[in-house]
Order: sequence, then C-alpha cells, then structure tokens
Amino acid sequence: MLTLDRLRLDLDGFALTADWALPPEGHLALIGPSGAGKTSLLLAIAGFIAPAGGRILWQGRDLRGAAPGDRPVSILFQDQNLFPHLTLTQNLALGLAPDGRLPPEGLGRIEAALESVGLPGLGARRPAQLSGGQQGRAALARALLRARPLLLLDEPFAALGPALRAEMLALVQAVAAQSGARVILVSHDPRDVAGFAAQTVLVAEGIAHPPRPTGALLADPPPALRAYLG
Amino acid sequence: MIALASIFLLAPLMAALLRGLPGLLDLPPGLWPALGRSLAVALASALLAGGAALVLALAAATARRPWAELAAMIPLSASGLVLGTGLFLALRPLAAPETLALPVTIVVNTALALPFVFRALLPQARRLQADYGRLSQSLGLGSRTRLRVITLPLLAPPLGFGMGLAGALSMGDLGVITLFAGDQGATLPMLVQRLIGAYRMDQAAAASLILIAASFGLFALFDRWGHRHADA
Repeated sequence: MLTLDRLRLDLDGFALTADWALPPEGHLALIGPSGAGKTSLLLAIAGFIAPAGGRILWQGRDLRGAAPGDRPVSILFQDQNLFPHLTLTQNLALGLAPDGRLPPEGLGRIEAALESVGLPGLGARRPAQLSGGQQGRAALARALLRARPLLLLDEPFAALGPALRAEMLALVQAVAAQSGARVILVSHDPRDVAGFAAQTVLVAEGIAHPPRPTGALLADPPPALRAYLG
Repeated sequence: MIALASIFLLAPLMAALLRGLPGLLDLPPGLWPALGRSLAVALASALLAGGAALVLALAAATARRPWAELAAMIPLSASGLVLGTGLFLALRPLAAPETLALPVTIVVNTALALPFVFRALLPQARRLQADYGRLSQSLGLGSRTRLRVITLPLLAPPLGFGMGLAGALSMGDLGVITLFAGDQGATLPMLVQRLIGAYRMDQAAAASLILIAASFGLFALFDRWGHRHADA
C-alpha cells in the first residue's frame, strides 16, 4: 500500500509534512483551504514534485526517482486531461499503449471503456466537441484502461455544477470498483467528500494530518477544519 | 503605412515583372540547373534549421536550460559574409572551394535562419509544455511517440512558418556562395547577378521573377504543411 514516511515537501514559502499510510480499504479525500498543499501532495505522489525529506513508499518500495509514468498511479488534473488535437480513441490509445503500439484488441477495449463511462460511439470526437462532463468521462475511461491501483483526482470536476459533480463522483466510484483502484480525491467541498471517501485527510497549516473516518471528522471538526468550514 | 510599404515592395516587383515577363520567352542558359541548386540549398537549410530550432526550443521550454536559448540566438551576432569568410579561410587548405560551395552555403544559411525559426517556435513550445507536459509524463509516453503524436502536430504551424521563412531566406541569399562558387555551379541569385553584370537586363529580370516565384512557393508550401497538420 501507499505509505508517506516522514514526508516533507518544500513548497512556496512553507513546508508540508505527512506521516501516515493509506488505510487498507475505501477511498481517501484530501480536504483543506486552498494553498495548503493538497495538490502538491498529490503531485508528489504522482512523481512531479520531489520530496525534500522522507519517503513515499508503494508496497514497501521507495518511489524516489521513479518517473510519473512508471508509478502505480493514474492522475486527473484540474484541466487539460485530454490532448485537444486527438480524437477520444486516439487519446485513450495513448493510455493503453504509451509506446504507440496499440495491440490488435486495443480498439475493442477502448470502445468498451467509452461505453462503461457513458460515451458509447463517441470515439471519433475531439475534446472540443464534448461538454466538460463528457471530457471528464473520457479521462476516466483512459484511467480505466490504464488500470493502475491508485487513481489521483485533483478536483477535475471543480468546473462542473453540483448535480453533475455528484454524478461524476458516482462514476469515479464505479470505475474504481471495475478496475480495483483506490481513489485519492482532492476537494475543497465537504459535500463531495461526505458520500465518497471513507477516510479524510485534513491538509492545513503545513501538515497533512493522518486519515480519519470522514463522518467523524466532519461531525466533530478540529479547529483548523472548523476555521475552514466556517 | 500600408501604402508606403506597398510602394516600397511593389515598385521593384513591378519593375522586375514588366521587364521580366517578355524575358520569360528567352530564358538565359543555365537557369534551370541554377534553380535546382537554389531549391536544393533552400530545402536543405530549411529542414536543418527547422530540426535544430525544434530541438533547442523544446530544450528551452521543458527544462529551462538557458544555454539552449543562447545557442539559438548566437548566429544573430554574425553576418553571413563574415561567417563565410572565416569558413573560406579555414577550409581552403583542406579542399577546393568550388566543391564545398553548396554544403557551406547550406550550413551558413541554416545558422543564419536558426534564431528566427527558434523564435517562431518558442512561445508555442512553452505553451505546449505548460499545458500538456505533465499529462504526457503521467501517461509515460515514449519519447518517439510523444514527438510524433503530440509535439510535431501541435508545433506544426509555427514550425512550417519558420521553415518556410528559412527556405525563402536561403533561396534569395547572395552571401557566402559568392566566395566559394566557381564559374560552374551558380545558384539562381548568382546567375541574376552575373546577367546584370553582363547588361542582359531582360534575362536578369526574368530570372528574378522565377526566383521570387520559387521563394514564395517554397514558403507557401511549408506554411501550408504546418496549417494542414494543425487541422488534422
């Protein structure tokens, strides 16, 4: 599993520390004020920010120096999750075969993945021909094909309305169940977190606190979270 | 402003056109081989400048390597003639200048065009890296796949424009080649110069017309290639 061992990240003007392991079951949410370092923690796990101290371990193996593509993660960024000049099929093919050599059964798997995220038959479309929600679905379909054990979501649905966002989170849950992935979701909205994550990490004042059961944390928030929730 | 610019450009063009059109019926000997040499030189330096500028622009955009930008801009400090004189002096003991005329011209024209192609590419290369660098990395795209599927299609418009520019510049160049070329092996601008020197103005004007058409055609070809890729 994922372990953050006395991890320290040097961010703009402050350090963020984390010292805990991903709980054995359920999805995880990172919540806290903006600028607290939620995204940075996610980017460090994905391999885009090198730790200033401590280690990030996967199944006991130190991930230091591992390229983002070689890590056990798929990540959805806040935006720009699809290449604009490629069709959905071509975008998804890059997830399946990053070396450009799509296996013969690849096209069938891509179509099946599009179907399971509710975009059947749209493989020939380009991202600009899709709505924001559909783009999110396509990025999830690629994560489904990549089938990495961790799915990191950096508020990719923040631009969507509340109803659509709830729909997308339900789809994330379905996709995660289908590929057996665990999700780490960055969010600034406790309503998103409540129904989604079994455990939640509060990121505030330079510390990513150890995970706590989401319900208990939201029912009895510590001072830093109470200050944020208002 | 536009009127002034038009007069500045159109007056000599009209002169060449009026004088040259009748001359097209009486083309000077050696024109087609000269055009072929010019096209070959222009094509080669356009491709070389495009390739070098692409490598340097990607290096400058991805890793913020300051040397890449410096390396691309250095040729601005040299004039083609100075560069050519230096190469002439350095290479003369090694080989006959005539045999080196075209390769040296290609190298010098490539170097001189490099800063402009680089500058045409750099903004889009930076944007590409900022917008899609992390996505490419997170998918673990192989470097060849990334170049073929992501980088080249998204940089094709400025790359096509830059290579067109390099080709057109190289096509009309009358610098270093004059030091190296012998009586044989002239390029089209050299031929024009020789025709003028021999007071064969109609033929010189006709050859200029063909030079203009070829330069513009080459530029348009590269530029169109870039835009076709952008839509694809």
